[in-house]
Amino acid sequence: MIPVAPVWRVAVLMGMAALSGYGLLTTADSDNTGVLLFAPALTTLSVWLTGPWIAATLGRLLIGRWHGPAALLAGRRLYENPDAPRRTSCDAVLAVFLGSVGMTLLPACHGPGHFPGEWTETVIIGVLVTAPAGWCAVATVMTSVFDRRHVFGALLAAGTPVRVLRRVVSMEVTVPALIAMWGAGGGGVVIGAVVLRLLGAEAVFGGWMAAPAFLGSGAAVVATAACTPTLRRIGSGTQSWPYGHQ
Amino acid sequence: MSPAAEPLASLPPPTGPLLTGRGLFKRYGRQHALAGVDITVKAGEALGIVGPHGAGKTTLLHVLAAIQPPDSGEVALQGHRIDRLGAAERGKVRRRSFGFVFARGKLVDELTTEENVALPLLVSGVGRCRALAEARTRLERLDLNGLENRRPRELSAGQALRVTLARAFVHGPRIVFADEPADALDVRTGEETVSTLLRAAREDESAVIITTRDRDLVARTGTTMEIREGLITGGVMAA
Repeated sequence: MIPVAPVWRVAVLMGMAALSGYGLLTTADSDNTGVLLFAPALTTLSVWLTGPWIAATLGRLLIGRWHGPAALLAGRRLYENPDAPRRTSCDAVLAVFLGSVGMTLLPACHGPGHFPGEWTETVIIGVLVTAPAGWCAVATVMTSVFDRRHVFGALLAAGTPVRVLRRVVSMEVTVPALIAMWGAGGGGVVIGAVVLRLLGAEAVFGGWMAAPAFLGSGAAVVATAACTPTLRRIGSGTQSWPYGHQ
Repeated sequence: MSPAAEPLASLPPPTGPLLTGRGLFKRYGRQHALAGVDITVKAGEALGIVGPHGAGKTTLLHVLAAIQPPDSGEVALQGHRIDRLGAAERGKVRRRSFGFVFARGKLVDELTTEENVALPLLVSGVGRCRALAEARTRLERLDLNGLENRRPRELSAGQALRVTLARAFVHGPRIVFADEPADALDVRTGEETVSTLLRAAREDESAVIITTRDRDLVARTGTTMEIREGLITGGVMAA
């Protein structure tokens, strides 16, 4: 069973996306400022609402097609507890979203010919995205491991290789985070373009707009690798897992 | 023997002791958890280790099962030293040759009963269909028919422990380590669980090492040892 009424979540998403598109297309002809400001906010909200459904759907896909223990464990976790990735990764997604808006607006501030020559702003945006995204990704990964330290400890004690559990964490945390970050990056570019149109300018599209999503994704991948020492520590038996020393 | 895709070490059938620990020392900070333990486990033997809380039972189990290396002393499986292996190699030995029954089960909450039982096979590389089929067979043997698709939260404590037993035996281990298997159970369910564990070990010709604080429970095993302050104090006696 997919959790919490996915149909209305998707309906909200589609409705708000349509409203944004309508506002974007009609701005030049009429004063749709209210629609333009309201619709993006609701679109962002609806993406946030849809996150668990996406996680649960990803989980269901894994459950249907798993061939190894990592996909089974990650799929069941995503399907049963789809809220978990969102709780800790929404700040990272927000950082990527705002970074993408900033990257879209930046050329207009300097004129299209100057970008990406304005490296100072680019680096600042990069840092502003990577730092929170990296921090949130590490927090998400560690939460995923610590939430199940007893079960992971038991699996490691029984001989499960660390790489299998690292793959579990990767599938259940990193993959949804990557989907969310690239979605947020795309949404940020759209919203940036809408804001530019409001200001009477046109967006200049280019590869640099993907930089926040790229940096956020990199931070998530690095954070996943960082869970390896923790898993090794759990598996070494130096912790009181899976049971205390007696 | 159950199927396993991972190539198993072609250890010959045991003629001498199956598992030996010699002069085992282990300390945590200044506290000696093991202070010179010698122990021998024969193939198919049921060994009970009894002792109070903090006596060193779990540490001894960890060291014998190659979860932790001893500070000094040696552990050998069929004459092959396993205490000096690296972490990955020790993991391989545990995966291939040992089964585990942890205190309070430690089933994976999100998995169904049959998926939990199939997990050791899947980790060893056995395919999905074969692993699940083997898990269902094992559940049937422990009278758990009809519970294949339940989650651990939908099971009674006794049923969950029997699922843990099924998981411990599904890959045909040579030794099953059971750490306080009756810890969270009432007396009757605890006795039933230990009886089921011993029966499963007999049927599979696996050795089993059980730790407990309960003298009545340990009396059900074939051989009993008492441990206090990291030393075997009670000698070895056949029950």
